[in-house]
Order: sequence, then structure tokens, then C-alpha cells
Amino acid sequence: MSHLDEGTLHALLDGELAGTEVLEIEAHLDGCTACSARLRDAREFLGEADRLVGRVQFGRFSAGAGSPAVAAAASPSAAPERPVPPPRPSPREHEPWEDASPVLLIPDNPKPATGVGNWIRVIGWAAALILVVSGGYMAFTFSKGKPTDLASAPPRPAVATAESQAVASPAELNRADSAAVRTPPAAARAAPARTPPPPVRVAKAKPQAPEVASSSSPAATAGDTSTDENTDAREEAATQAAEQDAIRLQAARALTQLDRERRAGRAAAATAALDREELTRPAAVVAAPPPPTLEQRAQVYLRIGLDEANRQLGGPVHVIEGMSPVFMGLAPGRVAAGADTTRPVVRVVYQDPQGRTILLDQQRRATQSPTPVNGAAWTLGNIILGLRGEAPAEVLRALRSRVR
Amino acid sequence: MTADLAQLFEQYYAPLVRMLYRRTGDRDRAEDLAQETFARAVSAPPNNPRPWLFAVALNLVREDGRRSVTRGRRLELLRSETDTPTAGPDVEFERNEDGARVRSALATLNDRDREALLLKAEGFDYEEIAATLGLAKGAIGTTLARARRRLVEAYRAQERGKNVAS
Repeated sequence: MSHLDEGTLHALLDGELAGTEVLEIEAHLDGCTACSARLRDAREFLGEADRLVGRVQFGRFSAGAGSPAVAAAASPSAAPERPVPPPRPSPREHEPWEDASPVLLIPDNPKPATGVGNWIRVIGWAAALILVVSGGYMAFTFSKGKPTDLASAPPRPAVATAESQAVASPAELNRADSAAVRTPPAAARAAPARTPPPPVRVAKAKPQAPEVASSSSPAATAGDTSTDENTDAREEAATQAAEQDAIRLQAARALTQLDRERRAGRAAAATAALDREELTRPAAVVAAPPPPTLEQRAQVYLRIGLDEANRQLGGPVHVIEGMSPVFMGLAPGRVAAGADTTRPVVRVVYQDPQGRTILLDQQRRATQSPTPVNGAAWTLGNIILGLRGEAPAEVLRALRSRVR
Repeated sequence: MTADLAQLFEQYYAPLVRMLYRRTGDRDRAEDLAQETFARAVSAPPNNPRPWLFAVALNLVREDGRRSVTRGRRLELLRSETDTPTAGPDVEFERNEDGARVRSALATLNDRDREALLLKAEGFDYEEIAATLGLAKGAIGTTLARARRRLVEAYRAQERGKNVAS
């Protein structure tokens, strides 16, 4: 049996190997001090790594309490020499988010609104809002219209005016109202409009009617009084109109200002979100393609595991002693003349400390084919091997002697 | 929400947030991503939930998870807050500092190694890790071996740097 690779040792420590494999490996470990030493190293790395991952917590937690990582970390260090599969971790550490006893999850919008649906909903709400505001405004105008009507009615004789104010017809009310709105006095428009709305004039005019009717004074006196009342009422109506104009103007200015601020805020946020490096980087650098991945450099079309590699080769896959493969994969073509091209090339990919790829290609030999004699390929049993890569030729030649 | 999904949430929310926090180093983002993951489970209940949930969560991390989360789907999480005793500030500081060093060491790993390691820390076996990450089961041992060795070496290098600095 060839030496055990690091992945197999970790799979052994993680309890992922089948019983027969474990027996074979244990038999090998009994007679191989190098693999036993590597198993100890692997156990140390496994325990230390799990302890480190278990330390990444936040907020309140009880360190060391039953985390899967911590639990798993504890077992290798305290384990006997032979690996024992760690127990499946069921208890977990105490986390802040686990304090919550009753947890209720409610999807408030399981289906995201599509663009059209969202717009229809927004327009519907806007229409409803406009209706409500318009209705309120009309009601407000109608309720305030009555005193304005009476106040701006044309002057009449005292008795008639008083009576007509008390029982003004709707036609008169409408006519007077429109006149008051159309032609407010200029002085009243300019006046600061902070006076409260006047009381209802009908109520005020009613007690005057019997008094004026029974009075023996000339009719002109009553007429003057009525004219003064009408003038006051016109001025107040004009004041109200001016007040409303001023409020509208103020509101329009405030809305414009708010809108401007919002737009400026959005623009500032969008600018801040931009990556400044991206902005300052030259376009040519940004457009440069990313460096090829290790898979691309190794020209592997499918990554495979150890079992699949063994199956493809009809026996154990060969490895470079003392190096850990990054991954294994299948590649097209053939390793050398005489290889069975109905089988893919099994490629074991390594990286040396300088980051250069080293590819150990293996392929079954065709039946009764001659042994390849070129320098880059050689035969071990029924397998043709080839070693190539980005490392210099002398390095590859040196590695060839370590292929097991 | 069905009873099954509620049970799923009870069972996997905490491990999912923990794994996401270890992966991202951002608690808020981890919780957002976990909620987005469960939101997707609401619309398409998975058959094999554990690898599915963790695979979706890791995919969300890889793409811009924050953008997906703020797209308009939210889950309302209601829970009662309970007080738990807290450690002293110095102990908390040391923990945070140590956790930051480990996160920094984790950041030196490539995505596949880091994710395999975090899934193993959540109790995944090789078959589940392979299903979650889309790798062959035979490659998991090698991946984990490399990830563990690199994590420990990166952490030890930081420790050495810290001792030299102090």
C-alpha cells in the first residue's frame, strides 16, 4: 500500500471511511512510521482548527460549551492513538440568538411585488389620498362659505337687508360667494392674515331684525349700520383668502425645498456608495480579464475524488510523496503513446511553495502496447505516468523519483 | 408559514447565523442573510433542508447578499428578549480580539476551503459538505486537510507577529 495522503488521514480522523478501509489503513500505519507521524500532525491540525473556528463568536456566549466545533476539537486531542470517529455534534453552544424562547417567523410579503403590480398599488393609494384631500377641502370651503356670502351681499334697505341676511337664498349665497372670491380688496390681500374666522353672521343679524323693524329712526341710520357690517365682512373674507393664498405659497415653497433636499440626499448617498477605487482606476485596468483559476491552469474538465480516480485507473492512484495534492481531475488526451485513450487522463494537481502548478498525469496502458520511452513519461505496472507543469524541468525530474 | 417550516427555522436558524457570522464577520449581515435564506425556503420549501439552506446562504454571501436582502422581502421575527449574564469588559475584549485574529486567519483561505471548514464545524459530514458546495465527496478530505493546515498556520503566524510587536 502506498503512503497515505493528508486527505485520507483527515477523512480517517473525521470518521468518514468505511470499516474495510479503516482496517487497511490501520494495518499500514502499524508498519509505517512516516504515515503515523503524519497522522499525528493531521490530528493536531484538526483539533487546533476546530478550536479556532469555535472561538469565532460574538456577543454573549459561554466559551467551550458544546459547540460542534469545540466538541469536535476536544475529541482529537483527548483521543487515543488510533483514530476514533468524533460523535455527531447535537448540542450547540449558547448563543445570543438562541436566548429567544418563542420564535415566530411571519413572511410579510412572501412574493415580491413585480414592477407593474407595485406601480398599480402606488397609483391606487395616490388616487385614494387625492379623493380624501379634495373631499375635505370642499367640505371646509362650503362650511366657511356662508358668512362670506352674507357679508358680501349687496346693500339693501335696513329692514330688507336684515331680513334677507336671516333668510338668504342659496342663489344669493352662491353669487355673493363667487364675487367675494373673485374681487377681494387689494388692501385686504396685502394685510397679514392671522385673524380667526368670523362668527356666523346669520346668528348676529337675527336679533337686529325686530329692533330695526320697530325703530322709529330714519331708514338711513339702519342703512349705514348695515353697510358698515358688510364692509367688515368683505374685509374679513378678503383676509381669509389672503391667508389661504399665503399658506399655499408657503406650502409650495416648503415642498419644493424638501424635494430638492431629498434629491440632493439621494445623489450624495449614491455617490458615497460608489467604490472610489473603481472610479479612480484606469479603464484599461478594470477591463483586464481575471487571472486564470487553478482549474483552468490545470486544464481539468471535471474534478473527481480519490474513489473515482482509483476506479478510472483500475487501481490506486499514484501520488508524489511528501506533497499534498490540491485536487484531482479528469483531462482529455493521452499521457504518452501506448496509453488507453478510451480512458481519460487522471490528473493529480499540486502547487509548489512558489505557486507553480505540477501535474501528475496517469492513464491505463493499452493492452500489449510498448513501454513509452520518452523522458516525460514512464510506466508503473499497468499505468503510464507523466509529470509536467509550470515548475522547471530539473524540479520535475527530481519529483519523478518521489512518485509512489 | 407551515409547521414544517417553523420547525426548520427553530432547528437551523442559530447554526445558520453562526456559520454566516463566521463567514462574513458581520452580525447584522449574517442575520439578514439567514432571514433571506428562510424567505426563499418559504417560497420554495426544500426537500433536503440542511444542505439546501446552507448552500443558499453561502450563495447569498458570494453574490451581494445585502442587495438581495433589501429587495423587498422581509421576515418579521418576533421573540422575547431575555437577559443573560455577561462577562467582564476585559474578558469580552480578549474574546473579541482573539475572534478577530481567527477571522483574519480564516480570510486567508480561499472560499471553498473556508466554507468546507465552516460547514464541518456545524457538524456536516463529507457527503453533506459535498452536496452543499457541489464538490465530489472524495475531494472533501483533501479540502479540509488543506483548510485546517492553512488556518492553523495563518493563525500561528499572526500570533508570532503579535508577540514580536509586543
